[in-house]
Parts: sequence; C-alpha cells; structure tokens
Amino acid sequence: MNKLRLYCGIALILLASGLAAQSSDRTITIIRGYDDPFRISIVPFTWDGPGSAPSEFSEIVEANLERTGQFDPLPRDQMRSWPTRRESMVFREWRLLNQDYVVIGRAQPRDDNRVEITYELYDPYSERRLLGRSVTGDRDQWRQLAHRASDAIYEEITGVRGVFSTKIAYVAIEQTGSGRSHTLYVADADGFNEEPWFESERPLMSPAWSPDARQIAFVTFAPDGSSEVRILDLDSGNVRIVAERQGAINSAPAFSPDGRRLAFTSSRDGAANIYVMDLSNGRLQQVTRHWAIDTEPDWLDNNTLVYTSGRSGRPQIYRLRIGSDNAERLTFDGRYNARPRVAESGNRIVMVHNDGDGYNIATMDLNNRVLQVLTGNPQDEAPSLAPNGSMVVYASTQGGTSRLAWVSIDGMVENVMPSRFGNVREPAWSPFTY
Amino acid sequence: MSKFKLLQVMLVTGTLVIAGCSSAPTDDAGTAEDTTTETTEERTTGLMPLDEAEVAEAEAPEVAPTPSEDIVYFEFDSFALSSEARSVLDEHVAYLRHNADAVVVLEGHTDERGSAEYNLALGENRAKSVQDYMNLRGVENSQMYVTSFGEMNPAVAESNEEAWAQNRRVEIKYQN
Amino acid sequence: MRNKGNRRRPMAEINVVPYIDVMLVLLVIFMVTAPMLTQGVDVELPRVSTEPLPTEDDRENLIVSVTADQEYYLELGEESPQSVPLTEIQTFVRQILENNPGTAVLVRGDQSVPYGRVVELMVMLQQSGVHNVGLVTEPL
Repeated sequence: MNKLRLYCGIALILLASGLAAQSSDRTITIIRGYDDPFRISIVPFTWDGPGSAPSEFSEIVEANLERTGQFDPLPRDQMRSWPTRRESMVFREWRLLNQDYVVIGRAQPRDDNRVEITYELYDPYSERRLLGRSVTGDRDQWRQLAHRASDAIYEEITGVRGVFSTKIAYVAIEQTGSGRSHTLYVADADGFNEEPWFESERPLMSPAWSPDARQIAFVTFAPDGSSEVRILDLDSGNVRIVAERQGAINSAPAFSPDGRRLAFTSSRDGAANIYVMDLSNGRLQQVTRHWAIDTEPDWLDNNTLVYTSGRSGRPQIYRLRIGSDNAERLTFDGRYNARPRVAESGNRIVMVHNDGDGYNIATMDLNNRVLQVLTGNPQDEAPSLAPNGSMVVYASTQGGTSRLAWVSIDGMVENVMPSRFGNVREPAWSPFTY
Repeated sequence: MSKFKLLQVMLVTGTLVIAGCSSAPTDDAGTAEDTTTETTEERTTGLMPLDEAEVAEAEAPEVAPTPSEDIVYFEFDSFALSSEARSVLDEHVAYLRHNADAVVVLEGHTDERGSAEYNLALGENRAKSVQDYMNLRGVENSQMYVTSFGEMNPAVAESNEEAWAQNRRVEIKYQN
Repeated sequence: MRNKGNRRRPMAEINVVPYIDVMLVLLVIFMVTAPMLTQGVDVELPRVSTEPLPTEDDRENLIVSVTADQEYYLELGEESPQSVPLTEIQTFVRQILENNPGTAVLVRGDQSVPYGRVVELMVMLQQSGVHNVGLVTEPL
C-alpha cells in the first residue's frame, strides 16, 4: 500500500514536470531526450550594473544545454539559493537536489559599452571547481558570449566540442500579396539573431558554407527560370554568380574541404551531371557523365565526392573519386536515398531516406555501411550535420508547413523549432566559427 | 519486361522513320541511336507509334486553334507522358507548328516529397520529356525553352495526394 | 555515462536501528545514532540503548535540527547556519523530493524540545511527501 502510493506520487510528479516543460514559453519543443541526462543547475547570473542586463545570460546557456537532450537543467524555482560566488555555495544543498553540476556567475559592465561575464562550473560532490572563466565583449554580443560559455561548459562535461557558437543558414518563404518571397537567413545555432542576406521573389535553394564559414554558396533562379549558383561573401555582403547557363540547371553547390573548389550540378550538356569548379580561375571539370540524374554532391575529402544518382532507376547514393569513372553505390537499404551530407570526420554521411514509409533522415557509418534511420516524420529533407557531428538539422514538413528540426546523430534526441516565418527550409549548419 | 521490349521496338521503328523525315532534327535521333539501352527507356517517353504520328501530321489544320490546356501532369518520380498529357501536347504541337514565331517556356515542377535538388533535376527531365515529344512531332527546338523549379513553386501549397498530383506538372507558358 | 558510485560521500557513521512502519501517517520512522554528526547547531540528543545496524543507502539525507529554544535549522554545512521557518523547510523538502525522490529526512531534536514541536515538523514532512524520517539519537 505504501509502495503503491509512492509510485503513484512519483508518476504524478513526472507527469506534472512533463506538462510544465511543455507549457513553458521556450521556443524549442523537445520531443525526445536521453533517459539519464546530466542534471545541471544554471544559477541565475547577477548583473552588477545600472539598469537591467541585456538579457538573461543563464537562460541562454540553460536552453542551449537542454536542447542537446544530454542535460536536464534544474528550473530556477527548484533551487533553494542563487549563489553567484563560491563563498555562498552550499554544496550539500545541490547534492540533496541531485545535481551533477552547478554553474554560477555574474555579469558587469565595462568601459566603452562592453560587458564582462564570469562563469564557474562546479561539481557538488567533489566540491571542486571544474571551470572558471571571464569573457568580455560588446553589449550587442551578449548572446555570443553566452554561446561561448555554453561551448566551454559542454566540452568540459562531455569531452566534445560544443556547437552553440556556430550558425545555421536557411531559406524562409513567405506568402506575399502577389506570390512568395524567399530570403536567405543566417541565424545562431539556437535560431536567434537571424539576419537576412539575400532576398528574391524567385526560389532560393541549397545554401552551403565554405570551410572558413565566411562564404555561403546558394542557388537562385534567373528571370528565364534557369538556376544559377551564387556565392555570398559574409564579410563584404557581396554576392557573385559563379555558375550559370541559360536553359539549364546550375545548382547543388558544395565547397571542397580545402575551400578551393566548388562541386555543383549542371545540365549544360543535357542531363544533370556533377562538375567541379576551381574557384581561383573558374575552370570547370566534368565529374560524372550519365544520362540519369546526378546531383547533390558533397565532399568526402578533397578528391572524393558522394552524390545522388538516379542511374539505378531510383535515387541512391554513390561515391566517386574525381577523375575516375568508377562510381561505387553506397546505399542499398530503402528505395530512395538522396542528398548525402558528409560529417567533418569524413566517415559518416546523413541523407534523406525512404523505405516506403515517408521521407526520413538517416545516417550511414561508412566504415561498416550500416544505415540507421533517425526520424519518423512523414516528410523530412535537407539534412545538415553540426560540425562536431553530434546533431543533424533538417527541414520537416507537416500539415503543409516546413520547419527546422534537430535530431541527435544517435536518433535519441529530437527538437522542433517553431519559426516566425511561414516556411523554413534548406538549413545548412556552419563549420566552427572560432 | 515485355513492355520494355515493346518500347524498344517502338523506339527503333520511330527512330528510323524520323531519321527519314526532313522536318525532324537529326541530332536528337542520333543521340537516341548511339546510347545504351538505358537511354532508350528515357527517350521512349516522347515517341508514338509510326502510323499515328503520320495521321496527326496529315490532319494538321491550316489554322490551329488556341490550345485549351497548358499544363500536363505526371506520376510520382516519373517523367513519362501519359496519354492525357500527349493529347494536351498535340494541341500545342499544332499551334506551334502553325505559329513559327511563337515561343514557349516549358516549366517543370515536382511535388514536395523527397530531396529538393533531386526534384529540380526531375522537374527538368519532365520539361525535357515535353520538349522531346513536341520536337519529334515537328516543333522546332528554337521555339521551346526548358526550365525547372523542382518542388520550389507548388501550384497547391498543401501536403496531400491531391495537391501532390496537381504539383507534378509541366506548365507550357507562351512568351510574348 | 555518469559515475554515480564514487560521487556520493558515504555517511558511514549513521546506523539504522529497528524501525517502525507507522501506517497511519504513511511514514517510515526509524531511529539513527549519530555520534559523528558533530557539525551543525548545538543540540543535546536523547540517549538511548540500541543495537546499531549499518545503513544500506549511502545517499545524502536532509538533516533538520530542532534546538532547545525550539528553532528549526537545516544542516547543510553552512558556516553560520540561520534558523529557518517551517514553511521554508517545506519548500526545500519539496524541491528535494521533486529531484531526488526517496530522500530520507533525519530529525535531530534536542531532548528538551516539547514533543509537540517535533510532531509539528514530522507532520509537515509527511504532508510534503517524505516517506522516511529518521530520529537521531545518541548511544548510551
């Protein structure tokens, strides 16, 4: 009888906390997470300055860690105290609250509109400080500072480099009076700080980052309807056309790992084939020669491409060494495998996969060729890997609306990010930015 | 498989006839002959049995009526022309042959399913199917421009079978 | 992923003696001897003769002291603990149970404290969802 009551009580607590998490006004909805995440307390930071802080530093860090699914941050109303320095830390209190880690800190204004943020990471069991850092930046870099702190905390605990300071490029589509507007945005990895870079009434597609994260190649459509590849320079804001041909497709750009070449698809000679352009002189090399569709190239290394080909009758993924005619088919599971994207390590790809039950995101370990399906939505596409290989961002269409979503590379964690835009598509995760 | 063989036979017959026909450009026919059997599968989409084509040419009226439909539809992941699509295109063939200065843009589209870049190429293949068909029926290639928007410009912005069927299309757009 | 075994500091000196399952209030009350609980506020514990048993659980327990002047204290290892009202203890107990279900509470009451004052605390604990309450005593 006792035990029954106890279990009911625990079940109710779990249910209640689940409901509370869902009804919070965070922009990110967490669909799935790990069973045993790290319990971490991000104590609200104090602002030792006039007026109010630019925004809640600790909230940004908390949301970042929570989004990975590897962390279960303690809600601040569950904390007995909000220490900001070690002297006021009561370690037994955090042990009683079952916390594996505690982050405390403070922010204060500096000269010339700058701010300094000090943060410390503690293990309440060993009562040791694991990390203690001060970061300084402009007031308008507040979120960036929080992302930097999140990167450091994440890396200290998991041993894996954090990707909170990276960017995501995507295309937002809005219905206008006469048609649709398409805008290329670059946002922080958490979806905030979005900045428009290129707008068109005609579609935009396939943004792809240069390895130094300073350029984005993407696809626009000329007035005559032919697609063309452009490169946006993020330092200057300049946009130049690098591949165009009237009456033909020029699309699906991908920078080589050394940043010196651009692979793309063109139908300039009839069928859609893959070409590589030397960006220093514009010289073209045709890589595939096949009547069937060859498209969506990405680089395994500076000499090897993976791409989608319809040569077997349905789209499947192939690997080809540039200069060779010996295309090797990589995917055999499922009737549709397309749009491969290569992990930074070069030994894993993600793709769009269909085995008869909707279009999902899947991953394949190239060492053992095992394909694992990561998502279960009816219509997912455009996967792009985080530079640390931990997460995949993709576009998920449900009920006619396309939104960005994330899934961890093991399929255990899934998030959806509602957007203020009508439709968001074609996400591309940037390389590390520092 | 037998259907495939039949198509092959049809292709060979069609190619021979077209090669002898002065109005058909020879470069396209040559391409079809030189390439592999896999090419055959693609190229058959534009071909009709021999006598039907001759009848259509013989019965072409002096003044062609304005075509009633300017969209043709496709099956999923296919760029093969249905008989309905062919009858729509026959009207355009007649019109374009009698209006040599008329120019059309053949704009290929797909439904939203699958990968956007693959769909861009698939949309182009649909538009090229239409172009090949009309070219083989006597429309000059200089009268036709092929483009594709893939899945990016749906006619119906919804996610259901009906909307998808409406979106898998080639739009025939006359230029002024 | 996490190394739970080594992280928690065992409180080896606390031993559990025969416990009573009090059905009426759904409380498991047990008596503990705590000769090593030297830290914390000054409390003169009742002296009893018991046969100590080793604790199976090495997890952290919440310790609430009731001093001779009938004030409540949370034993958290703070340098200068302040007395806290019952409502604040209740808030903390609920936070603990939310995040650490099954945590036991040890009541460290001065032997001169009126019975009613201890019962008041125990009723609050029971209402907050605590299922295990230990009464800390001193061995003879």
